Order: sequence, then C-alpha cells, then structure tokens
Amino acid sequence: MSSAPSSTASTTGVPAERAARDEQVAVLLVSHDGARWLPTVLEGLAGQHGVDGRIAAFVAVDTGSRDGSADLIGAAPLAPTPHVVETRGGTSYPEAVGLGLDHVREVAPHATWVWLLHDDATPAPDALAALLAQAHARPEAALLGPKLREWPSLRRLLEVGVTISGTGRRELGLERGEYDQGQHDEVREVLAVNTAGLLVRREVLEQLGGLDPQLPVFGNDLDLGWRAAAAGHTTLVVPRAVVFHAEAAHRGVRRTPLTGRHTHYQERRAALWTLLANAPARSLPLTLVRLVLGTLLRMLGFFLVRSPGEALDDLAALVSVYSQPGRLRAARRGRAATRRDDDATRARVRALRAPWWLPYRHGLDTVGDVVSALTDQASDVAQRRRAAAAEADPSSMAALRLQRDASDLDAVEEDDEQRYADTGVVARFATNPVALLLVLVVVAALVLARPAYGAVVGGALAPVPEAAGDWWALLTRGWHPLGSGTDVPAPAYLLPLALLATVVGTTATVSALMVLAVPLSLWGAWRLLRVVGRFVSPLGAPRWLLLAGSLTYALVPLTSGAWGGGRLGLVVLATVLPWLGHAALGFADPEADRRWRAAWRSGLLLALATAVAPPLWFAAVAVAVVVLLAAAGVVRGALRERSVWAPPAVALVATPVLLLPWWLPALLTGAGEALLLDTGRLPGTRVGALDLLAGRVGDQVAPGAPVWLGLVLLVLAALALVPRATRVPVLICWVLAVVVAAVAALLVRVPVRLEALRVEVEPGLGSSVVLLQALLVTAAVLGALGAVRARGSRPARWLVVSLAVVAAVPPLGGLVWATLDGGGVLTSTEDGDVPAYMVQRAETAPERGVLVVRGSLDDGVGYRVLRGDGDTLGEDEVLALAAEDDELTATVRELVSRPTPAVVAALGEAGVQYVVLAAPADGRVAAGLDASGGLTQASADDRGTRAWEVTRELSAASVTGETPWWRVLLWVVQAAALLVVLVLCAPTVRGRRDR
Amino acid sequence: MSRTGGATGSRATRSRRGFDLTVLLAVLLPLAFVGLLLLVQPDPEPPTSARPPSTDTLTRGTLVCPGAGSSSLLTTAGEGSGELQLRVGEQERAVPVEPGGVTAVETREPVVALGVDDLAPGLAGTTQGDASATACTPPRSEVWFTGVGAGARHSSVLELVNPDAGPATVDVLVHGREGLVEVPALRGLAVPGGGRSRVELATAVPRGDDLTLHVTTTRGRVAAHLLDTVDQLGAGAVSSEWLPAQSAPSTDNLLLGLPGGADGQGQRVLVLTNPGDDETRAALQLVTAEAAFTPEGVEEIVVPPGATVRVALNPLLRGIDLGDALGLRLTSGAPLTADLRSFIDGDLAHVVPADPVGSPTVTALPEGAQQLLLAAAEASTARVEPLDAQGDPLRSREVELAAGATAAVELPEGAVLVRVTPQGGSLVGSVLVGSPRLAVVPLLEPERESLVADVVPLAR
Repeated sequence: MSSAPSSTASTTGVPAERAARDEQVAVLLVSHDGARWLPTVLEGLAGQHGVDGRIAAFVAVDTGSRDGSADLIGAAPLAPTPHVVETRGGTSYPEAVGLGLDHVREVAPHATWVWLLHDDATPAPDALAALLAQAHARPEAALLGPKLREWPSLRRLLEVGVTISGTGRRELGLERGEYDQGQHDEVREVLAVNTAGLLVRREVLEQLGGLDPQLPVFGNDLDLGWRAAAAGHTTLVVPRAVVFHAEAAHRGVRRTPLTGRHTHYQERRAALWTLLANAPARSLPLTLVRLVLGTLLRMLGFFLVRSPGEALDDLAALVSVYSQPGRLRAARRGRAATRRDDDATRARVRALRAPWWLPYRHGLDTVGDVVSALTDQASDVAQRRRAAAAEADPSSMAALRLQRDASDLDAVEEDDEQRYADTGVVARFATNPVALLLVLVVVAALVLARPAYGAVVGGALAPVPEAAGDWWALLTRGWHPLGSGTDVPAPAYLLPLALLATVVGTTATVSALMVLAVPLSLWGAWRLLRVVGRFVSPLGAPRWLLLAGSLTYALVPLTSGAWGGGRLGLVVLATVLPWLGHAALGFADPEADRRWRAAWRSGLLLALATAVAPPLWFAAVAVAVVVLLAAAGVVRGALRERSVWAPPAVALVATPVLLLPWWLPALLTGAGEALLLDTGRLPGTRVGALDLLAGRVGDQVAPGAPVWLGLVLLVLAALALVPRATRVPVLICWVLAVVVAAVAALLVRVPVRLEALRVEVEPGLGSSVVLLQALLVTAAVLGALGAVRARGSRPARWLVVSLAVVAAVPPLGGLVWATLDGGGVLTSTEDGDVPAYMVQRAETAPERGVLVVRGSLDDGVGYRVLRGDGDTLGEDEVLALAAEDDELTATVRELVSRPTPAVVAALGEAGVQYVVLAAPADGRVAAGLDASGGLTQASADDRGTRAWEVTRELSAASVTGETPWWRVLLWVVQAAALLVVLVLCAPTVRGRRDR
Repeated sequence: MSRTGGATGSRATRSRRGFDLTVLLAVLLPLAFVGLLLLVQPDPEPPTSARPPSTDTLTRGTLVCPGAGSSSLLTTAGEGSGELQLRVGEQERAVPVEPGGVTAVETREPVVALGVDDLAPGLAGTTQGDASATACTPPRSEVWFTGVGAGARHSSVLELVNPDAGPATVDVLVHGREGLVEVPALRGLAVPGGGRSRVELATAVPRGDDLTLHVTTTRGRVAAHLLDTVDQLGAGAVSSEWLPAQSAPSTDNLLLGLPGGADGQGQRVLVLTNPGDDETRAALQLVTAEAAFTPEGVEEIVVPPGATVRVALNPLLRGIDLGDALGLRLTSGAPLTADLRSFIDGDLAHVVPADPVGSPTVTALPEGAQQLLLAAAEASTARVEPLDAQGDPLRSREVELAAGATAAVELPEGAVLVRVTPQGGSLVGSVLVGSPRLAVVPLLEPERESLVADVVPLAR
C-alpha cells in the first residue's frame, strides 16, 4: 500500500489542466430516521470552514423517515439551502445516492466532486477542507476518505481505509477499540474508504455506475473502491479529515426495512457478493469453492460460541448469493466494462487487498482466545466471590477484608517482583525449588510409567483391538457377534477411547492414558488445590503445600493399586476427578452465567468420570443433594433462585443423557449391573473397609502401596480439623467424605450377580476410594494452610514443623514405593490359549469361533467362545454382562462328557469352528473328543493343549443379529447431546462477543 | 463449598461462646466416617472349590480284547441284551450278548466291541488262548506295564488298538534299571484309525534288564495290551502270557494270587518301578486268608527314583514258610508300580495290582479257572455267583471279607461266568487259572456310567 505518486494511468479521465483550486463540491446526505444524530450532523456541516464558496449544493435524500428527519434538514441553517428529496421508505443506500446524483446534476451541474455523508456521521469542522486540500495535492486521486472515529466516544478509531480479505472479512488494519493517537496519520492509498465522508469525483462515480444496488446497506464502499481500483482510479485515505460515525446500522441501533433484524446476514451477503462480483475471472472457481468451505467453517465456529443465529445468517447469505448466478454474471459483466485489463492495474489491486495469510492469523487468534478462556475458567472464582460480596455491601467484613487482602497481595507481589527483578526465566526457574521439584516429579512419573509404554495389558486391562474402527463398531452396533451373540451395550467409556484412538491409534490411546495419568492428575490437583486455597485465604496456599498435596493425590492411581492392576477406568477417573472438582467450584460463582457454564462443564466431566467408573454418579448425586441442602440451611432462600440449584441439577442430569446409549440398553438387556460395577475385566476385586480407609483397590497380585502409608493421610486429614482458621472448610471436606462413605456403605449392600460367570460380585467401590482420597488430600492441605497462616507461639510452630515432616510421608513414601514396586501386573502381551492360525481364521468371519475349554471332569469344566481377535478392551465387559447361553452350556457339557456327532453338529450351528482343550488337557475329555465323529484333530501350540476342528457346517445365524432402530436413535441423541453440551460448556470469549 | 466465606466470617463471634459446634463436628465427623466405612464388609471371596462331576448312564461302551488269543469271551454286567457291534481285524460283524451269557468269538485278531445305548453299560470280556488268559479292557489314557522284557530270553510285544475312526498317538516312557531310558522311537507312536500297532520291544529297546512302560495316549483313544514271552534258550521252555496293565502307581500294591500255589516250584521275580523323583523303600507282606503279616528278616526293597528294580523272591524269602499265603502286599513311601512274574514248570504268569471294584462285576471265566481271590481294605461282604453255560447259578454264596485279609473261593466245575457283587465297600479280586495254563485274571469294574462334567462359562 504505497503512498507514492502513482503512475499516469491513475490520472486518466481527470483533465490535468482543470484548476483544482476552484472545483465545486456537492454535498450529498442520505438520511433515514436519523433525528437522533441529525442535529449534530447538520451542525457539523454548517461548521465546515476553509471551503468558502466551494460547496455548490446541499442535496439530502430522505428515504421515508418517520421521525421528521426531512424537516430537520430542510430547516437547517445551511448555505446554500439544502434541497431535500423525499423518497419512499425501503430505498436502498445506492438507490438513494443515485437519486441524489440525479438531483446534483440539476442543481449543481458544475460540481466536480460529490461529498457523501450519512445521517449518523458528523464531520469535524475542517474535514472537507482537508479532503479538498489532499485532492489538490494528489490530483490523481478520484476517491478520498476521512479518518472515521467512533461516535459518541469520539476517540476510538473506527476506520482509516479498509480492504477485504480472501474470506470476505472487512479488514481495518486496526486493533479492536484502538485510540486515535495519531498513529495512523499518513495519507495512504487504500482499496476503499467508507461512504461516510467519501469525497468522490462525480465523473468517476457516474462512470462506475454509482454504488451497486445489490448491496443495499453494507459493503457497498468496499465494492466501489475495488471497482475504482480495477478501473485504474486511486483511493486515498486522508487522516487529517475526521468524521465521527455512529455506525447505527452496523450496531443494530437503527433497524430499517433493508437491514431487518439480521444485520449479520446483510454484512455477510455483501462480503460474498463483493468477492464474487469483483474477483478476477481466473481465481473465480477457487473463490467459489473456498467461500462455501469457509462458510461451513465459520458456521461451526459460530455454533461453538453458541451463536446459532449468526451461523444461520452465514448460511442464508451464502444461499442468497449462490442462488442468483444470473445477477452475479450481470454484475461481473458490468464490472468488466469499466475494468482495465493490464497487469499493472491487476497487481495494484492485489497489493491493496489484504494479504493471503490474514484470515489464518485471525483463526489462530480466535483459537488462542478460546484456549485462554478455557484454561482461565473458574480459576478466579474465589476472587470473584469476594469482589461480589464487597460490592453487595461495601461496609461489610468481606469488603474490609478484600481491601486488607488486596494490600497484602500487593505486598507479596511487590516482594516477588523485587526478588525476581532483573533475572531471566532460566535463573528464576533454577532458583525456584518448587518448580524444580515439579519437573523432577513429572520426569519421575514418566519413568515410573515404563511398563505402560507401547502395548499394555494385564490385570483388569484387556488388550486393545487393532484399530479404532473395532471400537466404533462395538459402540454403534446393537448386537455383538461375541460369545453366543449378545445385545448388551458396549461400555460407555469406549466413546472417549474411540475418539482418541481415531486420532492416535488404539495402542497409543491406552498407553497415553496410563502414562499421563500421574502428570495430568498432578496438574489437575494443583489447579484445584490452588483455587480451594484461595477460597480460604486470598493469598492462596503456599506452593510447597500445593506441591505436597497435589503430588499425594497424583500418586493415588499408583499407590491405590489401580495402575498396577490395569484398572484403566479408575486411573482415568483419578485423572479426571480434580478437573471435575475444579469445574464444580464454578457453582459457587457469583455470576449466573458462569454458574451455567460450570454446569455444562461439570456435566461433561461427570459424564466422562461416570463412563469410566459408573458408581461415581450415585456419590455425585448424594454430594450435590447434601451441599445444596446445607447451602439452603446456611443461607435462607438460597434455593429459591433457579440459577443456584438448577446448574448442579443440570450437571447431574446431563450425565445419563450423555451416556444414554449405554445405560438404557444395559437396563433393557438385563445388564443393569453395569451401572454398579467398576469398569475393566470382570469380576473385579473386592474392596473392604480398610481398603476404603487407606485408599486401596488392589488385589493380591497388585495390592498397591502399604496400607499404613494410606492411613498416614487419614490421620493428617483428621489433624487438619485442629487449626481453627480453616476448620470450617476442612469440616466441609469431612462432611462430603461422610456422604461418600455412606453411599459406599449403601452400595455394598446391593447384591450383584454376573449370570454369565455365575459369580456374586461386589458393586464397584473403586470410585469411592479415589473420591475419598481426593477429599482427604484437600482436607489435609486446607488444614496445613490454616496451620501455616496462623502465627502461633513457638511450641505450636515446632508442632507444625514436625507435622510437616509427617505430611511429607505420603507423597515421598508413595514415590519410593512406586519406584520399587509399582509395576504391578502390567505386561506388553498376554499369552492366549488359542493358536495364532485359529485367530487368523476367526477374524475372517463371525461363525469361525473358537471354543476354549479348561478344566477337568473331576474339578469341573469352564468354557468360553472367542471370536474375531479375541476379547479386546470393552468386549470382555460386554461378554461378562451378557446372559449365559444355556443351550451352549448344555452342548459343551455333552461335548466334554459324551460327545456324539449330533453334539458336534450343534457346535457348528453355534458358530464354533475350533475346539481348544487348554493345557493341561484332561485325557478323558480329549479321548472322548477324539472318538466323536465330526471333529478332526488340529494342531496346537504346546503338547499339553489339544485342539480339534469342527468339520460340520458352520452357521453364523445364532451369533449375528440386527441393530434395533431405537438403539440408533439413542446414539443420535447422544451425539446431539454431546455436541450441545460441548458448545454450551465452551467459555464465553468476551472480546469476540463485544465486537 | 459454596458457603465457605460466610461460615468463616462468623467464627469470631462463635468462639466467644463457651460451646463451639465446630469442635463437636470435628470429633463426630471422622468417627462417623470410620464407622460408616466399617460397615463396608464385602462377603469373603467364595473359595474356588472343585466342582465334582455328576454321572449318567453310559451311551457308548467300548471294549478291546487283545490279539494272539484263540477266542474272546464277551458278556455284559448290564441289563440290556442285543447285538454287539464287533470289529475283528478288518471285518465288521455283530454278535448277540445277554446278561448271564457268554458269547465266544474265535479269532487271533484283536476284537473291538462297541455297545450302544442299552448295551453300552457293563461290557466285559476275557481273552484266552495259548498264552492263558487276560481281561479285555476299554481304551485308557494312561497305563503302566511293569516288568516287561526287551532281550533274547525275556521279550515283550506292546499291542496298541485304536477303536475309533480318527488317528491316535501314544507316548511310551521306558523305565529301566538306571531310570528313564530315552527311546525317541517310542514317542509319538501313531496308531491309525480303526487299526492296531505292535511294538516289538526287543527291536525298539534292545536291553537285558527288566523295564517298565508308561503308556500315555496323547491323541485319540487306545487300548494297550502287552504280551510277554520268556524263552529259556536251549532248555526249550517257551511261555507267553499277557501282562495286565496297572492303572496308576500306588503306595499300597496288593498282588493277589500266587500262581502255582504257595508251594509251587519255580522262579518268582518281583519287579518294582518308582516313577517318582525320590528314592523309596517298599516293605513286603504276605497275605493269607486271615491277615497280612510281615515275615521276619525280610529286608525292605530300595527303589531309586525313576528306576525299575528286580528282586528274585526265592532268595529273599529263603527260609520263610509261605504256607497258606495267597498273595503279596507292598507298602512304600512313594507310589510304585509292581509285577510278580512267576515261571513255574515252564509256565509264565503275571500278577499285577488290580483296581478296586465297587459295583457288580462279571468275569467270563477262561478254561481252567480254579479259584476266585477277593480282598478288601475294610471289612465287608461280597456275593459270588458262578453261572453255568445256560446262565443258571451254581452255588452262590456270601463271602465275608476281613480287613487286610484275602478270601479264596473255589469255582465250581462248569462255571463259565462269575458275578461278584461287593456289598458295603469295594474290593479287589482275581481269578486264578491253574495249570497247565497258569494265569491270574484281575476283576475289572465294567464301565456303566459316564462322568458328566459341571460346565460353567468362563470370564477369560
């Protein structure tokens, strides 16, 4: 955008010998219901100085104002007297300008310039003079525009010339709400200037055919500028000339029949039209495609920031423009008539347009805004509560404390600033023991997670399938060709797993969840404890305390034995829980809108947590009820306000809706036990009283850290009740712990029987263990905070110091234990009973199942049917919850006891191709199978294992089934709900909304 | 947590009062917490107990009589009568059987009998011929043959019969004097469907010592029989006899019957094998009609691990009056297999520990059957019914069995079948065949029932 004198081409059509100094100007004012601004505008017009005698005429076109705008103008003390042309309402701005031009031709045939003004734009006294002076200085200029400043603030810059990006965005080259400090005050050549205050050669305007009537309100300035540039004219912005503009139409302050309610639609339509009408023929096809894709992307973006109206406006604008190819062609023909087709002009237009990368930068900016808003959500809820309390009652304790705390905080920050003054980032980091320790802990956690790198399996963790597609199939099918075929729904946690696996693959998904469990829960716990600390004290908890607390919690997946035992669900729960707690703190926000955001966020995270550990939901319901009742008890009428009780209720209700395709079919197919069981291979371990107290979920194989280590935390949490300053928040933690304990005590009374495995199991208490550990850690940290902040006597201090040593035991002990003995039962592969060639065959068709028989005649026989690639993660739970196939059990009983050809034929009908007698094979059973007709011996991996192939016809009929329509419906509901909740829990990006 | 601010705000006023609610709560809540959690006592993990099988009537019974005899005598201990399907060599045929009757099949080929449905339970049979007599057996997955020979003077032939259509595989482990003998040729012996294999041990394992074969069927079903031959080179006496199989090593081996009688003149050799990994000692007892007693001055027999030990009885029991001894009993610390080989008057006979019989059993009597020997670990009675060729009972009687003692019942002339019904316990028994074709035929419990496994689905 060079401001250098342009080539001779740009001056063509302007007789150089004309005495510019004496050129006459016709002022053309278009008004519509502008009585609010007109008096000022007219005053501004009357106050123009330095233009004596050069205003040839005032022409005002009023488009059917109903507020007396026309009369206002007619009565204005202007010289020469204004000519008011009244026309019908609904006349577009281009039409009005056209009318005005006709009139100018009559009343001021000698006027070479036309000065366009809006009824909401008032010129500074020297605006016209400055424009004319510039026109004289740069005779090649055909269009000159002023600097637009905001009205009524008068200081903010609105426009200093505009251009248009490849996506149709109006590019101003200004920061949002930038103040005018003369920073943009050079005369530049630009693509276009706003029509408000545009000084244009009448001749050029007429030659270009005026403004495009296809652009009734918005964007016609860009189009005009583009056309002018294409025709070889020069457009200049003259910052010395200032016009104050209210942008009434854009801001929606003024609604006309033309703008309607959808200003966004009009703006977008204008942008599309301008791009398509003016784009060079060569790039037109690409532009057409790009605008469609861009519109879809923009719509997605608008949906994500909860602006469906704008998204629909975008779509309507696209449809409106694309459905009128005839008009578009006509418009392009018209532009082709005035266009100069030489390379220099084309290059000039290109240079005046926004650079190609600008849209991408805007995209990045938006993403950055969203991310920062996401991470900042609810983090300052404690401060906001204090501020709100102080605001509500400035004389209250809260306000006084806020003042005092603020000064404390300032002092601390000053200290920090002084301490860290003149030091670099590295030096700061190296001299900060907490940061160093944090890094050390994360590195240690990543090293400790060695067994989980790559494929990981063992304990309750089944191997993963080869591709994410298998998980999607399991999720979307209403009938699974597993075992004897079952309609038990896939576990709910497969959805997040499948989503992740679609991106990074199945093996990496499980590996990442296991490896990142400790670092992520450390991060989450740190954030949670920091906010909780700020609730109690505005200074928050000291960082070493945060480190100790969050590290203790982050080691819970390891020390509880969940990690080593392959309890993926509990590991993920431990990772998610602090984030869920953090989100739930948002319910305490003083702003209703933020409480609602917290509701959707908590709902989403609670759904995730419930998916990985279903019994958690019951504890969440109990906790929510107790907290709400307590809140009602403390503050009378707290629950009368809907925005107080409804958000937590929504979060609780959102969970079942988000998990609908899982729990409803589970109940309907007789697998309702799934709602009460922890996830992972069934049957799981049994959790007793001591396990709950010490935070252990392990079994004999992977028992977790020593129990006494867990009891230390319990003792610390109990001691946390001693400091008076923080006793109430610690008591709250304990109340919640009692609620969770009560839920666990109730849950364990529910008898759960897995029919398919013929075992009684205990309802899953793993989630209670993790939840209790989180509460105990929080209580201990709060108590420690109270002890630290209390400035006690010397003996008390010694007590605190010795307690601090004890408090270091759980995290350090946990780390040491995890280093020595944390690997548990995790391995990279699990040996199966089934030879590889059978698995390969089984993967080709559902009826090629493998019947694995284990045991002996004397001690009883167990069997299972493997199909496909074996029982992978998710499938094992479906099978365990499926009903027992009595017919198949009877067939197997006959097979191992008294096999006959009829029994073998029944196997074929049940879709079994191979029978494998796992080592050590019972010779009597093997002999019977050898003797029966219809089975031929097949090779097995080792001598102890025996295998046969069924030579009868195989049938998939009993294994395969259809997905009922209502299961598909549930899936659609889930997808829709997920989308809605995701959009609703997205943070409010303030800047964007205030644009 | 939403009320934190308000609650802490009033603490100043609260502390001035004498009673502080928070202190009470601070005591009560942890107690309530622990108390509630102590309610969580899950049921103890149910022990994974063995699930014993139930039983049901056999629907397909198989009996295999070894070749090299002259005739096979088939009968049934069951209720049903009808046509029994036979495969004799390559030929298929059907013969009638009925309870109480004996059907003789004249052949030198092995006989495979298949009883279906009613005929399945209770099939029994005996083979007799030049080599005296032995019992027909169903296919068994694991059997032991103790004291077989693989040399010039003493040689054995293992006969493996596969009654089914599919192929079968047999592993034979050989225990020699020094322990296990590596014989790769005897690993994975294939027996074709419906066929038989004969293994000449003198060819497969040419050795001079006494051997013990542990025959395991790894694929399919196989009935194994062993024909043992002693050739006193030059002296001209050649005698063959079937060596019955022992089903499993035991710490208490009862060898019922002394062929040729206690005073029979000839060579008696006791062969013991210890398949375990530890050395063990076997104590020898003599069993009479009254009791079992340990003769004085007889040393215990040391059996090294894996080894087969041969003990000549004549020097061992020199100076001891065998008197009215009816058999030998060997007790040991570790399970052993045993065989008593008698070579009396140029006639070979084997006695091998028999399996206990708990249900009515029938035995088709070979020619020359003289005596029925019965023994029981616990005092009980047994009903003995000899039947003649017409199926009429001859001199049925109740036999009192004292614990540890042996009862000898003389079999009447004309008896072709003896039915023994244990009452109040199980017993072991043998039929003693006298000269000139000395043999001891153990009583076998006929297969009547099949075990029906308790079947459950598995998690993984």
